[in-house]
Amino acid sequence: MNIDTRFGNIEVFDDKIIHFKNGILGLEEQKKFILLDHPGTEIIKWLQSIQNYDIALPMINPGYFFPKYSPKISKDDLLDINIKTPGDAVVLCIITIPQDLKKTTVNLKAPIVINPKDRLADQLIAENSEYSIREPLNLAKATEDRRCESC
Amino acid sequence: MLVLTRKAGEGIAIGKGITVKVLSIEGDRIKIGIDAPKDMKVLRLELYQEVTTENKKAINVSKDIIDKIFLNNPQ
Repeated sequence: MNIDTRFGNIEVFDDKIIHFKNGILGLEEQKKFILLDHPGTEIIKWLQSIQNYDIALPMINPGYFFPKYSPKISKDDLLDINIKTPGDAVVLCIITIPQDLKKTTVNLKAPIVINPKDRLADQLIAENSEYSIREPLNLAKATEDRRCESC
Repeated sequence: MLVLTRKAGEGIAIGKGITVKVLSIEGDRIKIGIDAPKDMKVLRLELYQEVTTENKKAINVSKDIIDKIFLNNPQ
């Protein structure tokens, strides 16, 4: 199957499709997605719907920006996507970038939890009271940090 | 909106498989117990609304704006 997205025409292989049984909060009808790398950077990934091609959500690996990030998530919710140990899960967080880049935020409260083996996923709630739905995020700084590591 | 008056210990049945029970009332705080099928998400309303708002903002993020950030700061 080929789909037309903001990233151009993309071939979708069945074994790359991630199933969100519950959809994503507010987008409950979207149940099938693929993961795409943002061209030219490993920092941003996109969750691209393959039902409505206009829907794609940018995400980051929270560990890259918040090394101590450790969401407490209900065991039942994890079992629902067949995750039995933390090693079974890939956790990504959705970001929003307004025109004023300084107001970029990341949702640490409701991460996207993926079981890559079974290609199941859900947007789950971290019970940690300190995690915010709108945590400020400095994407530009991350790229600077990275540049310095290599120089 | 259907409005019902309930006392502590009383409940409400919604369709098949959902029950909402008032467990206790202390001042302005009400403890509610909810039984719902496993595939039904139960969330605090304000959390659901705020996450929904953020998700809808996220789908409006353009590819170009991210390109701009990383072009200004090449890796």
